[in-house]
Amino acid sequence: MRVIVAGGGSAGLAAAVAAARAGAQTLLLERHGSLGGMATAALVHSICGLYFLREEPGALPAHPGFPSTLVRCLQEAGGAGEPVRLGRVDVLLTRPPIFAAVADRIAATQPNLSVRFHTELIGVERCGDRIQAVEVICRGRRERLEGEAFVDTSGDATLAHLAGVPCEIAPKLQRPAMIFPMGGVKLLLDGDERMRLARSLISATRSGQLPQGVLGAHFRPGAERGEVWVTLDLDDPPGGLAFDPFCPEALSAAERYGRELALELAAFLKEERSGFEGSYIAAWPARVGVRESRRVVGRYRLEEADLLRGASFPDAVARSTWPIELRETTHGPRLRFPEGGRACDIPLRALRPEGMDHLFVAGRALSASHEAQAALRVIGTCLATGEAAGYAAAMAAKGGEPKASDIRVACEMETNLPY
Amino acid sequence: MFQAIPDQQTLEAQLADLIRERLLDLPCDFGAETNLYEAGLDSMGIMHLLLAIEDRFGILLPEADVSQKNFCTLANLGRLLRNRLVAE
Repeated sequence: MRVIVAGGGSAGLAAAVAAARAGAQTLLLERHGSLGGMATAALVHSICGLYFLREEPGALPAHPGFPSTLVRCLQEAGGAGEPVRLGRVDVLLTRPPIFAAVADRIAATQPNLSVRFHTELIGVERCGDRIQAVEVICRGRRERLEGEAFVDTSGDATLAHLAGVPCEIAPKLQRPAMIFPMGGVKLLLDGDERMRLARSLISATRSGQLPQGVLGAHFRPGAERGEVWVTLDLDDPPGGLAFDPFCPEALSAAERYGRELALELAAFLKEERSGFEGSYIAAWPARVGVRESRRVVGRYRLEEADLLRGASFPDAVARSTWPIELRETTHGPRLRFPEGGRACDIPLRALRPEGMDHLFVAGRALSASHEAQAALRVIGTCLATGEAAGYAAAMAAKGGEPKASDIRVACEMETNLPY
Repeated sequence: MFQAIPDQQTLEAQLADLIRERLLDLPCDFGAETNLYEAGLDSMGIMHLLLAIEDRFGILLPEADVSQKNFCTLANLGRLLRNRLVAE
């Protein structure tokens, strides 16, 4: 029996490790040359959604299983420090290169798990309500891979879409972001300085010194000396194509536009801002970070109201603790917090398309409305839903009906296993 | 046409509405002295807030006025904004 996991981002890593631990021969397919997805390829350097929302100081982990294990491994490897509170939320700042190395190491400790990089999904072979195989390609070499259960952690519901499973996409997607580190900054980038930087960009756009697009920039001090991280939320290129995660021309335009804006921004900072005289762009991400794309239509669709009231479900397999964080403009998030900071259960049904017993969808493409997805899309929650989907797929591959209670037990038992 | 500058309390209420509409759900009893950062405002929201204030009140607060202290409560932000409106 074999479980195939399509997509090696945070959800896919968690799913593949869980399926392998549960005894399934597991194959994890990834299009890039490293695991981690947005956390490595797009240089997202903070993990959100790992901790409960609370007023008391101190971060309280929300997910017992693989997410907690990964945090410990990252911290031990120097890939993360202690969580920090930003506004009302606790987040874990990470070093993307170490995230990739830690993911390799974790995957390598699972004897049942093999990882294939540089592998793109191009087809799904379906017989009735069952997926029999997927077709993949690596630089022109095609291969057919059979499996008994499948997990779609592609982020774009690619496998589900190719299998003909109903999916949906919002007419107005959350904005993508170009994330890059700058080095050589001689400045303490505290809260006041970050605010002044934001204000200086407004002036520079008014005087015509900088294009409007730079108003999507947000700065954060890095872990290394002289390092600053810039997250540049991207509007559509002026006169260019609107963002579309399935259109190569639009994606190309977003990548080029992101780099172009980043270069203009970096030149401005170097020229105009004290402390940035010797600064430089230290790296580009492998791709623009995508917050929202295609979503699967599952047996249950999580709604905004579920998130805001902290809904409970009998078939809960994970939970969401992040506020609804809509990024529909590039100028910053619009946040809606759940009543009393309550966590919302994620039911197993939200990971299962109707009528397909051997397919599970986890990560940002699970079954949720556009608004609910704005809370569920974050990496901490992707890790948790990925783990649940991995255990569920292993159960389905063995011929059983996945039970939420068994999945919850498996996640609890996972906590603090050595890697 | 001459337009009266709103009093401090009105400005605070208008700022609260603006923040609710564009950035963040604030509880209806959110006080003028309650900490905005503890309510969820963070540095990611500052660009949004500066532009929203400009949009609503026609004032772009100068860089020297932009600080965490000045933005931490509706009272502080209201005072800052009122002084600007009076000066202009």
